[in-house]
Amino acid sequence: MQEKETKKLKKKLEEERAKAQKYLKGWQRTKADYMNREREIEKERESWVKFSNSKLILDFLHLLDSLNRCLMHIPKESKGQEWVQGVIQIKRQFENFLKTQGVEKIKTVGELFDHNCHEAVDRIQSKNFQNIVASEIQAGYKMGEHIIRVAKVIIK
Amino acid sequence: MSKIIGIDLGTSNSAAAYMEAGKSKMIPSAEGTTVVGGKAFPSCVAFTNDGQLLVGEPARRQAVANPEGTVFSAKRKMGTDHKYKIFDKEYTPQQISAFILQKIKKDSELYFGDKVEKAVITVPAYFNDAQRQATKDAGAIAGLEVVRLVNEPTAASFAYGLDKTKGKDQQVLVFDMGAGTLDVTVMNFGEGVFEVISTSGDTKLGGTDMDEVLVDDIVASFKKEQGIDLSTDKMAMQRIREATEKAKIELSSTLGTEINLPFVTADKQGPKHMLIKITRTKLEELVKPIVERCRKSIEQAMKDAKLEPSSVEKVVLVGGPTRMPIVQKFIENIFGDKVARGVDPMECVAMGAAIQAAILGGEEEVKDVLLLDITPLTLGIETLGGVMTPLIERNTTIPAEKSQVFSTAANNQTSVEIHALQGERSMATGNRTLGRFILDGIPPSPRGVPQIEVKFDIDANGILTVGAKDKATGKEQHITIKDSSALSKEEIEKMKKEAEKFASEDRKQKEMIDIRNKTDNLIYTCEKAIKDAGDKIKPESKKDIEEKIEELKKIKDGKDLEALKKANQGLEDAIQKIGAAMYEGAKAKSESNQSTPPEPNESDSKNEKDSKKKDGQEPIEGEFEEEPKK
Repeated sequence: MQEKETKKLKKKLEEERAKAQKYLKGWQRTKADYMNREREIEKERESWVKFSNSKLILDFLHLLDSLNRCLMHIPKESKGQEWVQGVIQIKRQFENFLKTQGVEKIKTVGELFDHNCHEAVDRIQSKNFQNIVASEIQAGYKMGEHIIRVAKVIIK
Repeated sequence: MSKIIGIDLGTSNSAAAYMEAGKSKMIPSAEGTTVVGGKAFPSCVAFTNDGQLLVGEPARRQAVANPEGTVFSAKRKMGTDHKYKIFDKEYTPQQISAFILQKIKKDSELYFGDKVEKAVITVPAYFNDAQRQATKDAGAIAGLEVVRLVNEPTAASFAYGLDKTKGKDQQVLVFDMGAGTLDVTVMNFGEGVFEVISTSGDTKLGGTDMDEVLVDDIVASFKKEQGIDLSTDKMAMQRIREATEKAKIELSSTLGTEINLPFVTADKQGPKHMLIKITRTKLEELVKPIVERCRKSIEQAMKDAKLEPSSVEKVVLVGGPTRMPIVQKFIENIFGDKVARGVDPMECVAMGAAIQAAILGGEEEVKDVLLLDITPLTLGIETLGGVMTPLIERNTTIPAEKSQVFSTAANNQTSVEIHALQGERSMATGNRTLGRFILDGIPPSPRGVPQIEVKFDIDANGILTVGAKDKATGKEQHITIKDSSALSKEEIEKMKKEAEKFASEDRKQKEMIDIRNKTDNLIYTCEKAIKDAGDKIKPESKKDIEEKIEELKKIKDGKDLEALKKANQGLEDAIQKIGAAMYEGAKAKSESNQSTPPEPNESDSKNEKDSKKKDGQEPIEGEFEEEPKK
């Protein structure tokens, strides 16, 4: 009788032990998950700061595009005028701002086409295709290794 | 155990997701997501002539440069014996799809820092056995065990939680409009299973068509206005396309926007600018014929399912174009207000696949055992002036523990009452009392000196233990409140609503009490300062301060907030002057004693005043005082 009781208790003990082990494992896992998540959040935060800066810069690039197009259309007779020089200086300010932010223009014309930073919009058909950039449709920019905007190009 | 991921292997774009802590999350592409786009990448594969394999965004970018080496939309050829011939080598559609899956596998492994070997992949509901087998093969080639293929509409329904709807069978219509294809599926959901009843669609209808009509219209109106055809100007078209895309997205949330492209082109007369106003009405007018083309597919699917729109219980929208108000209106006009909301229509298929993956991986069971609750309302204690000071904010996942040190509000106060509260109102009276107790035996000392640590500990079952401990004597008291979460849903909602309603009133009242508390503190500090300074201050200054203290005491309990603020400032300024004068005196003294004066003496009187002000406030900052017990 007593033996039976002991056996029952032993079995129960085994079960409880297994349960405790299972819970402990779950607990450890949760704690580890939490700590890993903390680290991830830290990384995410860093990349978000970078990311949001580059998003802001991306929006500004449209203004620089327009300014550049504007400068391309300066009438010949006005080129020497002081106010034109002023506008050119505004462009320099803009470019300096980008430089201080670590933003660099992606090289295009004459370069070998690079799918990592160039996007081919068109291809000039020729027998002697060299896969190099013939002209730039839209300038591209990068911040360190991070491409903010790929350069849109025509290749030949 | 490695994770099972969910993959949306789409015709134009692909994406992957996984489950974490009961929520599905997208897995970002390794090359970084585009700043504007989502987490999906183009389903594009390319081989360059120097032998590189490119997948996704890089492959798309070089497509024009290398058309013979680039493959788009291989999904359309799945299950056929079509062969892609690229640089003298032949590839089957499943091999091309495998490259896309391989990229997803690699990106996921990089993201998790762990091996990924299993996946759930979605397929269109209309895929036949050969197409399904081809998808499975693609997985195998990529080194992924495809634990299950799930129909795309089923996955989307999972993402919207439609499988959680209890009770009777329901009919679900899934409207999936991608960049280039439309799929309409009617399903029956019952006993935990989605069964496809009918499918219909259009393989040449999608968001791209909408972009095109808009761009065409803009180019046409510019031509009409300026007589210049921009459609052959690559540079101008590039800018127009980009601006149009932006305008289209904007018009989903605003009623009007403009396309502003200065110096878009030039002729002999000089530069030309584009400034076109575009309203949502205009956009809708343009895309209406495209939206209308969807009607045929819907009607066909309904007819095949032998259903009327009224018998459809839920409509699920998938794909970017379904974000447009006109598309939503179109659906609502047919089915009424039955559209499921709350999930990004561009991510819901991948997310649903991830949910399915988690269920198959057994993670769902684990979640049930470890289901963690949250506290629906804020828990805190009453502090000086009847203010509710929160310790555990609402929506905190439990179990949770939080402690904070408080102090006494009167000199020689030997006991504090801890009044535990629950609710969102800033005043104690507006909240629910959970319990109260008294901690006594605090050694008599000046106000603000004793350190009473109050600890709130709420366990996984919502049982709250509130404890208070005097750090000096180690004496402690606590109570256990079993029904801290015993409020019904209605009661909780009511309390939240009341808190919103009374927010401004409570704020005013709290501000009044805050300033009163500050006044009490200031009076105490000033009286002490005068006493301590003794004859170091001039009698007239002393008199001035004493008068100001008296005045403050008189108006302290009144209701005029502004007058109290002003009187407070007056006394503060006066006492600061005294402080500054005392330092001046000390400086003169030290100068006569020391040859080299210490740094701070270099500062001018204004700075001196500023630094004094800070000093004067220091003891008050960050201190919370308990309601004094008589």
